Amino acid sequence: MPYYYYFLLIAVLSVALFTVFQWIKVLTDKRDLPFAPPLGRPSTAAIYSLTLGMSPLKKETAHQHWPTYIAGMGFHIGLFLALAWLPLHFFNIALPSFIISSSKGVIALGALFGVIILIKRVSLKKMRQLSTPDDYFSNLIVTVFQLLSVRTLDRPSEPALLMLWAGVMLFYIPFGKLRHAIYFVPTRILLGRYFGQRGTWPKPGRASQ
Amino acid sequence: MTLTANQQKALDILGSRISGRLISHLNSCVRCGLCGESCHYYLSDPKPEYLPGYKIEQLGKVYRRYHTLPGKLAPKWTGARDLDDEMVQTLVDAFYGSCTLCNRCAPHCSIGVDIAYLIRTGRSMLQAMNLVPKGLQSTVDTALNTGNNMGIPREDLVDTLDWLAEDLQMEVEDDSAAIPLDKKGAQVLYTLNPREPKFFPLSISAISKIFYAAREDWTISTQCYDVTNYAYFSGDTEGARDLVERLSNETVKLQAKTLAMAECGHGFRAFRWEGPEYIQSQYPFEVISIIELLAAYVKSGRITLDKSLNSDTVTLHDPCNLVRNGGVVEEQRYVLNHAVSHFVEMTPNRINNFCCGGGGGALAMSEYKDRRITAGKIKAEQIRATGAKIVATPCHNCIDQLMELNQHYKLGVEIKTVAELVADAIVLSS
Repeated sequence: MPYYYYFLLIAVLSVALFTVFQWIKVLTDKRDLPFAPPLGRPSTAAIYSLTLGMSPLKKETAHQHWPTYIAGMGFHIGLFLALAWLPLHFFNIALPSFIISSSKGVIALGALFGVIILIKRVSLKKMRQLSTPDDYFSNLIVTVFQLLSVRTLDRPSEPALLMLWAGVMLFYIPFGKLRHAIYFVPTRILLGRYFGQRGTWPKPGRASQ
Repeated sequence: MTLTANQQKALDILGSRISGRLISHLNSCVRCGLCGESCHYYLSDPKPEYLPGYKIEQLGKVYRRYHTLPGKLAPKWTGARDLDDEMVQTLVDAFYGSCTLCNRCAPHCSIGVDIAYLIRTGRSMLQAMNLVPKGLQSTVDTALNTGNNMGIPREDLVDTLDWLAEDLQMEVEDDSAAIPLDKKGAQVLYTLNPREPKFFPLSISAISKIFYAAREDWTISTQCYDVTNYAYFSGDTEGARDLVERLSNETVKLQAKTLAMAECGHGFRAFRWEGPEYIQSQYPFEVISIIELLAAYVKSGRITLDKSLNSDTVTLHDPCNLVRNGGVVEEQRYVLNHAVSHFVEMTPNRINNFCCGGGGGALAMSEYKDRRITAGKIKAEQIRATGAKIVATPCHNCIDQLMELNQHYKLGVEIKTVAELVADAIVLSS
């Protein structure tokens, strides 16, 4: 097995282990367990937080910013699809050509959205003031990963560059803005628990109604 | 960089607060900048500094500098910053001057970051450095030193409550009507906002009339009655715990079954929700908002209301700490729908309501007064759009801000508590 296979494998395992460790650490920390008797159901609200609570119709950050929301979703869908292709490249699994061509389209569109988001971050004053070098780099590393994924779908016999780049990207996750990939799920669970504990999520309303 | 003793204290506070929850929320923000439209500060004055994401990023910068490897090795790359004098001033402005801890941004955040929780953590760091704005600190000190945030002597309170009791007897034409003081074993111990005996005694009259009509077994403590807890806002966790313990101990001493919190958003939140965390245990009595009790009275028929007695159009301002962060969402609507003829909602409302701009201790911080009034523009526009003549709100802090907004934006409305409207609609049985 070529060296870049090992490199990618180690990167995947490292990130997976780190993620599991962080999820357990965050979600089981006894210092964060509430003493106040709950008014609602924190566990139900946590599920809501991860599902309907993320609906664009529920969030102003989505429905008041449709172009950015669509670009962000497209960027992430492209990323997830490119990640899904990694094991297929790794195990040299062939899929029908129409799946390959549609995957290329979706991932390429994701990369385009990545560029658009980057341009927005560079061009708007409020975004520049909010951004760090890590923000620009994190966008670029993912966008390039998507472009390399498209290239490898065209040339499946040349996966080295994609696997090396994917390994670097995965290793970088805990050290930069990409770490939101690790903390996104526990953060939404924690927010759901908070509003669920207080009875405002999923839906308020009690005895007097 | 060499840290001063105060800066080290702030970092010690941050270090002591690091838990799974803090780590998760601090590491999740992607700085997308979309949260601005959820914040009344940004909406009324769209400066980048008012973006909720910008505010928590300031805490994130300090966290990364002292608690992460990339922040220690490559601070510029990750935007990590030393806690130097300039940074401290940025934190003061971001945490005290540009946020009311209303947490409207959290449910709308792309990721789900609990922004108010992070801001309050930052306030605790600044409190450790003695950087709480003077007016807010003075309010906390007065509460801790005198037992109530306005420094009202016990004799003055008793005098006020005595003449209010006489007024009650005249109003209900019953010599046995009373405001029971320091009664042991009552069903309900009722708290007061010190602004009531000092400036708004009619709201005490209103609640006394309601308790009389409901034939409630109730009392007020003359030793410890202050519903507010401004230490919660200042970031002084020890002070907040002290105030919670005093009220809890008084309730136990008077052997009350239920502690009913007066119409005060943050007081309810601080005692009902944060208090058990401060004292690391549950209370041995029930804690409810007076709004919940009013709803129960209406529902059970313990009080009878004639809504035609309140014929003007009434709208409702949802206090952030009672509603979004307190869980009392529908009760006030249920009560108002029984107490007034024409009730109209503001848009948005309930957990999406906008802060009035006076929360988070903002009313006590005179240095940010202009910002507070500017940020209140969103609420003023909401009120005007309803066409209502009366704005009801179950929070004395909000009432103060709404009164200022009423004057500044020439809204021409009357501001009332929910209890006042209920008292006006009460039909006393013979």
